[in-house]
Amino acid sequence: MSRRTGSRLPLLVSVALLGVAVAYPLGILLLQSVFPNILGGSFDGFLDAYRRIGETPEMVRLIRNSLAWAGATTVVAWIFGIPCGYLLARTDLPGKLWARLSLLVPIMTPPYIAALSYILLMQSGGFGDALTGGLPEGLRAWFFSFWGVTLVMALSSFGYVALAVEATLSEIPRRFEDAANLLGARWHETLRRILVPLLLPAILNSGLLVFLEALSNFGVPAVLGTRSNLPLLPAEIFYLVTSWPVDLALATSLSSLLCLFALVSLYGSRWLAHAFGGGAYRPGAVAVQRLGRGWVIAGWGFIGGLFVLSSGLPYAAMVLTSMARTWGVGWPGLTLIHYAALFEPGSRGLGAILTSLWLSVVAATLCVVLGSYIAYVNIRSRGWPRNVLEGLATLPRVIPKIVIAVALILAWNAPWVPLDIYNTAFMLLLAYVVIYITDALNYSNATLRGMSENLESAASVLGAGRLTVFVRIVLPRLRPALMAAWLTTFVVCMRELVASLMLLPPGMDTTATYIFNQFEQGDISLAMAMATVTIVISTVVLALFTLRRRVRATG
Amino acid sequence: MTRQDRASSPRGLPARLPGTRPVALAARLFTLTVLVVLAGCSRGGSDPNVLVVYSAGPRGLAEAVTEAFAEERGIRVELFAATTGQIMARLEAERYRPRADVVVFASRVAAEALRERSRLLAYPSPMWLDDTRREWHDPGGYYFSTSAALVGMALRGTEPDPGGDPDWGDLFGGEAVGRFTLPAPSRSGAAGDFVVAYTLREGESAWAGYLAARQAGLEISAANSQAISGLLVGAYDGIVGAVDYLIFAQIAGGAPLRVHYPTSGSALVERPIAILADTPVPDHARAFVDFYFSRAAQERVAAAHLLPARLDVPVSELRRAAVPEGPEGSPEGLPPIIEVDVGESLREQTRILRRFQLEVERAQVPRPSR
Amino acid sequence: MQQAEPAFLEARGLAKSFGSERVLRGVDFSLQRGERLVLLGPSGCGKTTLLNLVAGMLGADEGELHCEGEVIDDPLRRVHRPMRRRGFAMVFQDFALWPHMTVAENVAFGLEVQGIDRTARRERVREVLRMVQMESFAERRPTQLSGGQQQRVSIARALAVRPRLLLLDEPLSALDARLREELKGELAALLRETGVTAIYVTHDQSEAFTLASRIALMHEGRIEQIGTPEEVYANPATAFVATFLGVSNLIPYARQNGSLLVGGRRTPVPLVTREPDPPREGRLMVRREAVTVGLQGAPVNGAIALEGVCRRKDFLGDRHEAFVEIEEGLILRGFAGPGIEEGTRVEVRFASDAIRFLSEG
Repeated sequence: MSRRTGSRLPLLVSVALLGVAVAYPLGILLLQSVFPNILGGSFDGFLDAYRRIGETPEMVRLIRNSLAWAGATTVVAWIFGIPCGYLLARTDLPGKLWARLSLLVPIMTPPYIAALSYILLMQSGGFGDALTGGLPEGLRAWFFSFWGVTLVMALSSFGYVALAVEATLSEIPRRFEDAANLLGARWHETLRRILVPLLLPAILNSGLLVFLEALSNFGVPAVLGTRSNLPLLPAEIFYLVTSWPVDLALATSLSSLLCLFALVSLYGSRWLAHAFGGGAYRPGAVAVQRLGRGWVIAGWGFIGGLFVLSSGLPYAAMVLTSMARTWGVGWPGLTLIHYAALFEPGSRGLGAILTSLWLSVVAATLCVVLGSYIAYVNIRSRGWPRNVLEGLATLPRVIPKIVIAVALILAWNAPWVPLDIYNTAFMLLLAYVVIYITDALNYSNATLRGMSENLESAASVLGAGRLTVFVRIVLPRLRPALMAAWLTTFVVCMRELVASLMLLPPGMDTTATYIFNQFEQGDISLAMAMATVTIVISTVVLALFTLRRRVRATG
Repeated sequence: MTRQDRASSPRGLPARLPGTRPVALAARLFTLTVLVVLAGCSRGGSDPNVLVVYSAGPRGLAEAVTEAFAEERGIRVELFAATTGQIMARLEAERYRPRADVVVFASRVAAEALRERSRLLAYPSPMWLDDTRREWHDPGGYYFSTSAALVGMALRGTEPDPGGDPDWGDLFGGEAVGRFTLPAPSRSGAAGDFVVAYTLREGESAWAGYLAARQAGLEISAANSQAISGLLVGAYDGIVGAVDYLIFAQIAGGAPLRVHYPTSGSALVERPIAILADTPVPDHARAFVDFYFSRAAQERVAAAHLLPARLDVPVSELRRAAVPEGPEGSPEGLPPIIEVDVGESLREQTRILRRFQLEVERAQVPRPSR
Repeated sequence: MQQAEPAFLEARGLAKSFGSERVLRGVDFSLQRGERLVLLGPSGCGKTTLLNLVAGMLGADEGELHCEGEVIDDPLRRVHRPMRRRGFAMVFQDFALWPHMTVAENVAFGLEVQGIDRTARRERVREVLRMVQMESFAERRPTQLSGGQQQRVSIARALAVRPRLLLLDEPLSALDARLREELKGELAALLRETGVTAIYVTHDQSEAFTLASRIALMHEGRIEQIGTPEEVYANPATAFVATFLGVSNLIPYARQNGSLLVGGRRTPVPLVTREPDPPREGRLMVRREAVTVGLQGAPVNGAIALEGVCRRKDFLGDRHEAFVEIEEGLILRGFAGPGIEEGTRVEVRFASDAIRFLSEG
């Protein structure tokens, strides 16, 4: 039926688009890891790279390290985050708004900037020494080790746990606990039998988020891991691909393993949450615990201490370094010359800022346009292509960015590719779109799901064409979601590190690669000045948006 | 449940769309983006009159030579200037979709690696062969060294230390000779070549030496430029594994530095040129190689403070001055060199560099204050 | 159904399945200009699907749909006129007002799409808003209106374009009972006044009776009976129609010579009927309101009387309803006379011309 195929066209186009952008590179990656010479048309060396991984104790240790580190980060994030969530949801702690804000700051700070700042703080001759007149060497040794790296990663991700736990705890109605208490349960029994099972999905989901974030994070392992003799998968893959001797076979097989871990942990935690979690329930009023004076102090001590560790110290180190006149022993004299150097016309720094700006603007626009279109097509169709589409669209959310970057390098250098994108900035643009389209898509999805299809039918029946319906009815409804999606994508693109490092042509910088390279190349002050500028740009953009929305809501 | 198949409704008709301005703008932005993307990458296919050259630094020299060649021959040259590591990574990535015709490396080992993998095209007996340093070239004619640099030390100050400048043994003996840095061998091809050459000569004992130096405060810098800028601002007293021509360029610019070739030998880093086996334009490629060995090009090489391959082109003044013991004006005027076998270097390189990364670069050493 | 003049809308054998579920199993009906057809039936009977087929949201799997002599849907000939080219309008159960437009903008939208100029548009918007008494709300947003007000706007939006056919999909079911009652009358008046041809979907018989010029009763994907409200109420064609409309008693019977044997015990009653040839056996229907329940031994002229025991008596407000067990498994409902209590032996009486014979589907 011609009508059918006509109606399926947008769906098929969407599937094809995501297929080329996501499925094709990942497929090539997987194939290449199994057959290292597949792109040359040869099936030689079947599973060679995996065999090499299995036979090299160093590689096995590397994988074990990575998993253990991501696991440890998750546990530490739980230890930090769950009490915060409880304090916010179930107590009358004063100043909750500030407490919540203090959780958002570390989430908004790119982990690599936190890691760089911590190095400045903890290294010998760093701010820590200047502040205390010499940190104990034991502390320093502890920091530049497995647990120090874990701490930095956990500090930049425990906010997810805290917010998820708070959200769930403030929805579990007190009638559940009251019912248990009426039946004679003591508080710990109520906690164990009622609260924890209902809270478990939130704990597991936020834990999964932290685990995936840690497992696939490149910045912290590359910056701090290398200095702490803690080789971790993403950083190792990066060096295998970008520095000589290059070993693509090893890199792709390690990437595939990393992917596998990510997918296993995703489905594993879903299964766990399903197996142990409570069912659906209607939210209700919650029991709020009154805190005594001592507990208020203790609660704020905990949250405040975490804020100092996660944001206060790193930000102080970052800003001070960016304004340091001389880099030596003791407190530096302050100056703004590094900022001046950054914004000097024709300088690399300004170039990096401009490159980042245009890349982020274009990538955010593409993500939002394509994402909303695909979401719309997806939600208004059914059948197998829709399932394929949904699967494809969720993949980039789970797959580590470094893996996507490696996959894109392979895919766009295959002999049959008609376009020379590799080693142009467009490669990076493509990577940004692939990596972040899922987020943009999800924003639209949430709105579209809550939108009655009758709104569109009402227009169609009055004579409006498909385009008119989309433009006049659907888009205006989506606008708030699209704005939010655009901003989020813009902000995350502005700070994206690993794909930028791997895919930018030599001689070109984004703000993130500039920070990374400058830090490695000695001018720490320039690096930190750029870090400050990046964070200020992101904050200003977000603040303007929030302000505008608030003005419109009240006006 | 009944509203299936939204899409069985109509193809869009060009109805008037009042109030579509923001969307129209977005659409225009989108179209523009697509156009830009297409324009940016639609170079597909190979143009027979374009020569693609990948060249390791110095960028200025590479640009000058390619421009002069393009002008003389009327052949468009696309130049991609980067480090040897980046070039190797790119060649590896582009293995099944080759774009480069000619490559200039800053390391003979890199060229040897490609030759072993049969990715190079031989250029048997070029006319200029006897006018150049034949011992720098591949005997099979797969690559020819256009120039060379020496990897020694760079020190602050123009005058030698009255107590004598240090030798490798002093540094790697763990003596606190000052704040030294070494460009990361995994990033800097020259430093890598030096580490490989020194390790091969010294054997297992080299490793203890590296570690001792690390413990004595040797820092690892990411690349040559970082090490040099550190040296210039005084963060370091010297660079171990410094490429001499870069230092000469700094000195020529007035920097108070000096190049020091330790008496126990410096590493010689050749800069070979090679034609890739897949080139669709071998004639142009050979012409470019010929051009690189012409007197004019070689004089540019010498002017960049590199050692020219042509025997009849003199080295730069600064370079000649840095090797006082050499016979005056003689191109043979080289300081002591660490002799290496390029095949052995290639075989051992990966192992040595990885071990260096794991055991030396990432070594946990107590950090003395800077 | 033969029509002398050509029908405005005509459906022949419309069928639609979703997966393996056959939602419409061959529907035929026709609609004259100016008629108000109500599709009435329980949920899941296919009435909304039928409405969506007419609207063009869905395409039929089989059958044809003609409007003013033109084919607008025919899968065999691969004709499917898109919904926006049918010139219809629709009122939705959930109002489907666009929240980002004001009331006036909502109403003006259809006119705008038709390319009607601004002044004419404004005039028409004011006119229809006046018709639904929403004139003073023109600049409000739909979210600032109550449910009833929103539905008025939605009706105005549909009427504004002077549709060839107005489709209403349970427009009142999202409102509370009092409001529904109020709006029902208004809507009926509005439809009559404007003379618009309409198809109205509902599961509420009182809406159907108030609004319809004809009612189509739908059951399991088919139209069981179609006719004026009075016709379908008085002469239900099938047991489904009989029980769905009003309260009815269904009694199995068999015909023997001039009399009927009623119930399991085959109680003979005289056969008096207007129908020429009722089926030999089947079920007959008697409306509850035709049945009186009295004490035994008080014969009434010309009435059929069956004996039984009153099992339950409910107070309805103006009278009592009695449930009388005639025999095991056969309970008849009727209005109770004086002196009836639960447990008393009673007589169920009805006039023989109140009997309707049902054609079993």
